[in-house]
Amino acid sequence: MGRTLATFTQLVRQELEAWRRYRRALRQEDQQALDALFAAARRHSAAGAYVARETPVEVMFMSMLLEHQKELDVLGRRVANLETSLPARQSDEPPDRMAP
Amino acid sequence: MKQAFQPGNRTNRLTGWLLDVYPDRAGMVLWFLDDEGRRLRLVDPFQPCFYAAGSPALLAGLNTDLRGAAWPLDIARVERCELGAPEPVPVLAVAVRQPSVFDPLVRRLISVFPQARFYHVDVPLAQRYFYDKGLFPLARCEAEIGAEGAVLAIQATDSPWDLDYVTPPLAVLELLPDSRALNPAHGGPAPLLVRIDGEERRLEGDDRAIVERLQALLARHDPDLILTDWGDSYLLPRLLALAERLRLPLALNRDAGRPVEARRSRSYFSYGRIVANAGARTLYGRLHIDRRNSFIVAEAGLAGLIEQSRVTKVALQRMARTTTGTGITAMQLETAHRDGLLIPYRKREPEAFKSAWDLLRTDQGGLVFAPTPGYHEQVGELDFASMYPAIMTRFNISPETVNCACCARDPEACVPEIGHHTCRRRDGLVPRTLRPLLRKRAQYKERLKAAGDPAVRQRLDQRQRALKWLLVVSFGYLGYKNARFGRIEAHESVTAYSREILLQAKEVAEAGGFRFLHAIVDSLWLQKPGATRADYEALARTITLRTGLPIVVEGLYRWIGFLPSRVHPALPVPNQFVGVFDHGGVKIRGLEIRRADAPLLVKRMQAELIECLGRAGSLAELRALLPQAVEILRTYRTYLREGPIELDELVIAKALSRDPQAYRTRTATAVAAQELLARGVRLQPGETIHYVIADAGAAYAGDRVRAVPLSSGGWSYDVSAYDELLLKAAHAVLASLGMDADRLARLSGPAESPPSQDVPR
Amino acid sequence: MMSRTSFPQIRPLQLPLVNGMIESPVPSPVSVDRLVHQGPWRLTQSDGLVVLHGHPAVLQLGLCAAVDRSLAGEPLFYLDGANSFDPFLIGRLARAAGSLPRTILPSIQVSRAFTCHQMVQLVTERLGPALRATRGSAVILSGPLETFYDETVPAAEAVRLAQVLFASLRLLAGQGCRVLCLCPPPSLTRRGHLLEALRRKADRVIEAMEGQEGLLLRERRAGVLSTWHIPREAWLGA
Repeated sequence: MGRTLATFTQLVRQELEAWRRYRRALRQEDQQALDALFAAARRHSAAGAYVARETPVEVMFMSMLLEHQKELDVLGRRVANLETSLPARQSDEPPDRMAP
Repeated sequence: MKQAFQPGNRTNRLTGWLLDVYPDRAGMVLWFLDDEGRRLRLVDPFQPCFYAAGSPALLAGLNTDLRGAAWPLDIARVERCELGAPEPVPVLAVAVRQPSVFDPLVRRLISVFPQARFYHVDVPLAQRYFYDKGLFPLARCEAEIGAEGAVLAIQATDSPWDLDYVTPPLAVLELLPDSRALNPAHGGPAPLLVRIDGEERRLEGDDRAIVERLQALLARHDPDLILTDWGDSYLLPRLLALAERLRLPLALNRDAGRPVEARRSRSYFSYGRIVANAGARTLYGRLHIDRRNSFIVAEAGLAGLIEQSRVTKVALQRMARTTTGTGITAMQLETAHRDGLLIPYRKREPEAFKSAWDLLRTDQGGLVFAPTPGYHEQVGELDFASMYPAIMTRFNISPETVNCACCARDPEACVPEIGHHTCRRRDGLVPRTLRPLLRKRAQYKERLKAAGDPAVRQRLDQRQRALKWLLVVSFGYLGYKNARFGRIEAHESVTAYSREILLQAKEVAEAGGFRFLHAIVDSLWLQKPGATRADYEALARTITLRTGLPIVVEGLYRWIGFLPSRVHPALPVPNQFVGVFDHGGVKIRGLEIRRADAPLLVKRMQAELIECLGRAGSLAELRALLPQAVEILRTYRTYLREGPIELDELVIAKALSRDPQAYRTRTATAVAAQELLARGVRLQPGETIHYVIADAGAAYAGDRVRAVPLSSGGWSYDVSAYDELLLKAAHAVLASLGMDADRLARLSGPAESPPSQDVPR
Repeated sequence: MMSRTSFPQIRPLQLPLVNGMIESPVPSPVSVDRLVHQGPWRLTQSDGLVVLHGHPAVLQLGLCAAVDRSLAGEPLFYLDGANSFDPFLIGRLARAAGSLPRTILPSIQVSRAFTCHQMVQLVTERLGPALRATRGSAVILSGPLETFYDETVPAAEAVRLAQVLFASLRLLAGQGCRVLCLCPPPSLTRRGHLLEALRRKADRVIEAMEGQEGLLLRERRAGVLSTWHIPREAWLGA
């Protein structure tokens, strides 16, 4: 007896499919960003399945946020490292974050 | 080697093995290999019984009908229980004095009395006989024999649970077409090869000569086992037809009074899906096993088949051809039969009503933690040993124990998260059936660790693998639609426990400083810099202590690559990896090398590539080996262009997913199937066919591929199509090392100089 | 084993439906709310035995009826023979109809049958007591015949069991139950006569078919032909 409910991985695929028209009208680089968001949802399919919510898209958004938060943490640490390793600049002005 | 019993002897004691059992008028026919090398036909009186339940009027009608039957029957009114039923029900017990009429009788009754519920009607009688007598296929026996080979007493002197059993010295005759691995029914010349007593001969000459030669060999050697390639679908049907046409004897059966049992191949439609069933030719008094039509022989050899047959009590010829699920079901049927329970003819019990809200939580599988794509080092793998069966036995999960009436209020009985509970008072049928299997497999594995002799190792490994398959399907059969003792709630309880246990393992591992890289239901890939085997062993012990389930260290990897999706490189894909253990062994999942349909050339290239990378002890060394890996690919691509290449290396095997006439699009498989059909080959859905890519871009679809075997001598292949396959297979492994597809194609192409200077970082 | 891929064209988000429907041969935009509350398949009147058949999407339309009844506060029994029950789609429909999924889902009782023997047992033995216990009278059978399209069950046995099933359904209808049978096209065409037989037993028969711009539903009652149109439009959220 196969399972009846879609697996979380299938739900992510369905959700991505639901955004197809949206995705099509995005610029290519933005499409890639969207795909990365859905990859984040897929990455947490175990948690998504285990929480078993009736509205799975909420869980997907949470997974996307979570990956964002992790990225922020990583970037934050790198910035902090850079700040400490760079020679002290003038007073409180932070290094230029937009520099390439 | 005498076959008939000496009528003069009054009683006789025999020791030997039980080779074959089947129903006859006077009882069950037993073929016995005694210690003097004789093959004896014995007959044991046996009166199999079936049961019927229904309204009193119905049972009265049934009773009247049976009393008018032409066959001698013993009818009684008794009370019996179904599995999980609180009370016994009145049933009619009907003992059939002639086993050979049992099947026709119950078939008639089922159609004449559709309202009745029948029990014990569809367990093969050989199995019933084994259950009742404590026997099993190839059992070592002592028997007391009276006149005319009548069995006065018989008992097994070994047990299906023995580890050191002795199998009988079977006389084996091998019969195979002398053509390479492909299906002879698809064409090509195929002379007949016979191997016996270590000698091989070709049977040549005209049809008459072939049948006569084979008949002479059968008479002279009197084999116990005829082992064939393609015997079921091709060799035996043709040989028998030939013998009949020429009116020549061909004693494939040892029991001269019976024809060879024929089951025609057919494909049938079940729930919107085509299921293929290859035909069968089975023998009486001898065994026929077709290596090309046996899942278990392919998986675990003859030793594995014998192991499964002994523990399941499913006759060898049947076990060779049936599903593993039939084997595990047979074991459950035996447990039920021993408990005095009724074995229902069809499963009826549907799922209990549950709310859609509850369904959200219960209808879940095991947890899968997607991997972090890319190559990693300092990784170890831990596997729960037979997780699902271990859960069933530890938590007493069985159709009749889940949501029992007695333990609803016991908090200890509660299944995590989903609101079911399991019985704390009575040991379930499924756990009781599985426990000895789990124990025996663990014992084999323990011995395997200590064994040195390669032949012994192979035998132990085949036997443990045969048991593994029974354990693997035991879970599916809790939920399978036709499983006799299946129940959705039991299935749900197993997966609920598996989720809980994997999460507990995660918590233990993370508390020990291990990073959770990837996990699939019962396997965990962990990473911890500097961790040794002892650290992983200690972790395994802690997890076992916490979860109550045995978990073992599968191995420590020098490195492991979790390979990304080929379509969406950003997407993690579970269970697709290549890793090299510290002892040099390689573990691969989801690559061409493991796929039945990939051409040999592609598999060999990938294997060589991975072997080369396997020399790396770390990620840094792995990257340093990239130029060599590219060089391997280059060699294969050059070989592909320049040859000389063998047909075998390019053949692609595909199973027909539908009736070959029904393909709408002209896929490669459809084209090859059409070609075979046009040659007069008969194909059935589900069958595997073979082809080479001749010209993938040809305007006319029929020119794109050629079916194998080829209809004529000349052939050509599409270099660029196979080149593409080589590149894809190499890229799958190398992509995560920073090698994009275009660059790989360029570096391994003909024009480029060796890539030593062009190593990606 | 049932496979969800048997109905490739009807995953919720690729549904050839729907933004609503109206009793008219001409498509016109209507809200999902109306789809839920005004479909001809809804189980409000004393309909008896209703058969909605002809298109794979009938399985999804049935879920609209389930939501409609649940929103009305009625217990609903959903007998699934097609392995098609979809609480996520029910959740979406509930939201579209202005309610929370968690208020709807607990009131829908589901049981799945994977063989025709189970389906018959479910209807003949289990359903009656369950209905009495909740004083319910609304029942949906999703793919009641799907389990009968199995060649491992002999044709004669399938026919006999189907007769038992139909007799039970008539009995339920006679007792005042409203029973909606959702029948996609038979996957085993040589057993298509079973669906014909079920149609003959029904009080109402609605046929769904693929129209030019969406789904077309038709019912002939007392000689009058009613037609509904469900436009092919983007479905919830997308």
